[in-house]
Amino acid sequence: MEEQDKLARFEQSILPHMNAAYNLARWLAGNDPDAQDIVQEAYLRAFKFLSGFRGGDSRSWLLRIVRNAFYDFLKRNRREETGTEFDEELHSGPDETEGPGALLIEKADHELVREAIAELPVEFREILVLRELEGFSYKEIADVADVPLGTVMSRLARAREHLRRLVIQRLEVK
Amino acid sequence: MNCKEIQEVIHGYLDGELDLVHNLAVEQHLHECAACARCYAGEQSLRKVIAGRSLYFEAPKGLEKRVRSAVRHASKMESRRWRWLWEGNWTWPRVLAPLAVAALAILIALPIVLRPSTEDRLTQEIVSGHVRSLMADHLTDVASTDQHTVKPWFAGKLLFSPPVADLAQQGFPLIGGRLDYVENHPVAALVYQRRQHVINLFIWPATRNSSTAEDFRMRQGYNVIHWSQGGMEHWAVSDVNRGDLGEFMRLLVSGSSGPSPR
Repeated sequence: MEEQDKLARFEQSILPHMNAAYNLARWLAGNDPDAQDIVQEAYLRAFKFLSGFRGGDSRSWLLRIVRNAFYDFLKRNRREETGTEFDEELHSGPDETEGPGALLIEKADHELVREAIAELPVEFREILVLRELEGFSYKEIADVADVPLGTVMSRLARAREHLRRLVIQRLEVK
Repeated sequence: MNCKEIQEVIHGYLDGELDLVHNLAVEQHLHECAACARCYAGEQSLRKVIAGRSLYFEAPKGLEKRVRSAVRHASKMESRRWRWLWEGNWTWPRVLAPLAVAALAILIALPIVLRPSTEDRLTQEIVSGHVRSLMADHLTDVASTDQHTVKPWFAGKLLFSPPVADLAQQGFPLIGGRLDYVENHPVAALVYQRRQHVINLFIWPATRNSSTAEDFRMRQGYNVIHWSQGGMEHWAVSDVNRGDLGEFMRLLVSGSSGPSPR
């Protein structure tokens, strides 16, 4: 039966990306219960639209759905964005922290880096997560985040710049 | 490449997204420029920090099971719906009933939607009345140019007394009156002449719903004008030109409010 084929195909090609889906949802939502809901919703959508998936990379196809599910979730819950407003001042001009910062930064522990990334505005956070944790190419990121390639590059640069500041700030406070 | 250009592509270099030519250019620049090399080292260490801190969130144990069962449930619902449709688990009435309801709704709504507005219907009746009066040699029941003959003639034939004005001086001589029917009610039809043209003026008491605004229409080559005045509906129809018919109306309207020209 057709439905059985669909289910088999789904479990074979989409379900194995559970970790990638959860990782993205978890970084976007900022907590586990919401992330789980988003992943389930995304998988239901993916199953529904499976016939629309014409080959290609199933992981980025799924992550795109996860991302959309997250933004819908955000709209539904009208939750305040967890990241801070992006400060244009932070990344303009030459970076003065390069020298000592480069050494200092390697002292940052897991918890500190995690908090710093969580604090990034969501449009930077998603691109950083896709690049650094998922290892996506710029092209794949552009597909998932639905932005032009140039935007991926500029956001990634800003995301790293911003993250560096946040990490150093935290190290200095310690 | 200068330092500014390097800054723009340094992330592409770091991520291995540059083509060979740019890659070599950046490499060369980093050899020569200490500031950019330091900057690049900073980017590398940031990357190292991110990569080395196991920031990846693995899916919790129960999630896959939960998703799997949610999807299987959705799949079952899906196939049940199809089976319901295709495997005869329904009867004709269940499918036909909504169709029948829709068809009935259309049948009821269509005449309402397509029905001409009251104004349109009236205009059509007025024009038909005018045409009939000219065709059947039945222009007047009472032929008289005297308003004082025509007006009393209606008494006893109608439940109202129509205003009858003589406009002979102004070029619209009265030639008589007639009983006519509009919308199944008896109405007064006054007949005027404008040169060789006949003007039929239909008059009946205004109802609450009738519009008071005067309006001009053209129907089958006849000009029709409608206005309300003194609690009476006035419909004038003729093949005279629009200007003449308009003047006819103005004379009647001003004649009734002011003193009679006579």
